[in-house]
Amino acid sequence: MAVYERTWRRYDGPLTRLDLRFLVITRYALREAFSSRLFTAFYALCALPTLAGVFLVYLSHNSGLLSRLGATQEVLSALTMTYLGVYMFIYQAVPAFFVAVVVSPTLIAADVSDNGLPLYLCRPIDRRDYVLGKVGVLALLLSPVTWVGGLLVYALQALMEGHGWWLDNLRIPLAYLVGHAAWITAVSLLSLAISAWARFKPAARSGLVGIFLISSGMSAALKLSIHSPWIDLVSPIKVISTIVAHLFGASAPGGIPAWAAWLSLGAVTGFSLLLIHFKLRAHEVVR
Amino acid sequence: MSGATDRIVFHDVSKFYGEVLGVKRVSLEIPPGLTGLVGPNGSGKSTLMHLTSGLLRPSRGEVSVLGISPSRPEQLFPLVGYCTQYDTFPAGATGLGFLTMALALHGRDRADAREQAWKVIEQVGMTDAARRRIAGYSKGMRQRIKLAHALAHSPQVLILDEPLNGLDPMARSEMIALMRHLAEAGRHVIVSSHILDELNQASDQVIMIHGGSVLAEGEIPKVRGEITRHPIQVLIRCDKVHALAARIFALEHVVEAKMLAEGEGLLVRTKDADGFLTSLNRMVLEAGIVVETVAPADDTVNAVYEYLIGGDGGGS
Repeated sequence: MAVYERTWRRYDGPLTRLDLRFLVITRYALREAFSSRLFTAFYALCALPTLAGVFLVYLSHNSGLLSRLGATQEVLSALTMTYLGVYMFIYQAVPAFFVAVVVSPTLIAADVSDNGLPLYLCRPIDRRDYVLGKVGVLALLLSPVTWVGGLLVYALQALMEGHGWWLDNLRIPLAYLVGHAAWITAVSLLSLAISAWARFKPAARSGLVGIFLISSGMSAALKLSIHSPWIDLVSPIKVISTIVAHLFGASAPGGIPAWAAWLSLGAVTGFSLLLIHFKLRAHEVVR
Repeated sequence: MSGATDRIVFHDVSKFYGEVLGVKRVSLEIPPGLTGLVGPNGSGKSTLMHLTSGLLRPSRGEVSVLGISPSRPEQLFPLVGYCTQYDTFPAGATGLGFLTMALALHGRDRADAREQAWKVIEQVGMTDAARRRIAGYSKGMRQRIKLAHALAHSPQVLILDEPLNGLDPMARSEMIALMRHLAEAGRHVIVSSHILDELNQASDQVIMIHGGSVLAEGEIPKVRGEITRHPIQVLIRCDKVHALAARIFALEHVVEAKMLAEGEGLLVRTKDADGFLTSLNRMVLEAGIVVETVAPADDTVNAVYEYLIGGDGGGS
């Protein structure tokens, strides 16, 4: 057999840490996401709820402007607190969901439908790193328009108020951090799971929006015949509202307890992970 | 199980996709060099490649690549380069970007990954198109960039699934020369291909697979020698063709002797190649025949494929 002595040498220089290699996938996918001007414009619009918060904080502390507008500081301060305390969270969470709807299918659907996974999985990374890399894209995209924005407005308000306001209202940043972290995790994994199964971008996007609309509609319809508060568990809107109310210490809008809403969100996250686990294989097997 | 550090070892490996058989009780030892993986569509070639690359796990048995289990991607993939048969790339990627990302996944820093990506791009002759999007590449260019992707991190084992598909003759020849060069440098190069003639020129050994079972493995002439149910063909170019033919017909183990169209030689089919060659020496000396060439005519991948897999669809 014609085999000659080894005349090549493998690379033996420094390597980046194995546990951080998933960030390579994140970096390249992020660059691809922003290659669309339409998406970049939409993403910029997602910062509007945060900007509205910044504006309210500014307004409520600008007595000159307030007097010109004929508004009192008490009214504006109460409005700012209500906005910062619940509404901004919701106004951030909804566009964040749509960012995930737009981006997720581009991250994963093509890899699955075109047998592209071996391109990634024949590298020193595994499926967990691949999923982590893709979730990382969503986490990096959704964070600035959700919890980072929330903390920014909170910090601005604390700076303006002074006198230990930040300590008295510590619940607000915690709510933004915990609530949005849970929301980003659930939405990211669900959108990746649907994208992996739907395989085609339009189908994945329709599926994601459909899940929210259909489950909310189904919950409303069921409530007409079955008079049980537990039906709200099927409605993502009710679940999120309950969680937000729980986090900010407000009264829950629906009849379900907070723990059940958290459990429901956890179940969606767990189910999404299962879907991803079963669908993301290095090779599709046609039986 | 053998933990050979210079071989790819399959020990009683089976792979089932539910009730569908992928490969069945495969035991192999693949040494360095260029190994051709040959078999019809659906025979289990890709399954065997995926098992080697750790992209599939065996249902039964064990696989070891240079002493490493394919279930350890962090240890295996620095040593293995895999070129998939699928024509798929990350959306919007350029050739250079694609290779740089692959190298970054191997842990190279940005500058080093880019430098190495350029080197391998030059190696596969894609310098001019490196900054263009892969989506705009021709089939041949995409094949080259896939090969570059497999080669980028200088792996010791290269697994190339149908790398010659879509390439024009010139590009195929260059690709084979490159594979040959890599094999001669001491690497394992495992190639599946339907282009048997070209595989025949390049391969050190073949693995023939059909219906999930390995029908034959080893160097092509040896494999051919073991197929006793098909007489071996020997081509003889000489003068005094008629005189030689008359003598050859008298030999018991000769099944058939055909005169070549130009009348410059014979094509002989015999059940005993060694016996025939010994007799031929004697006959040539006795009759004073001038022999120009004596060469086996069917110890090619094509012929072995035809005998083992073609015809009856895979024999014993």
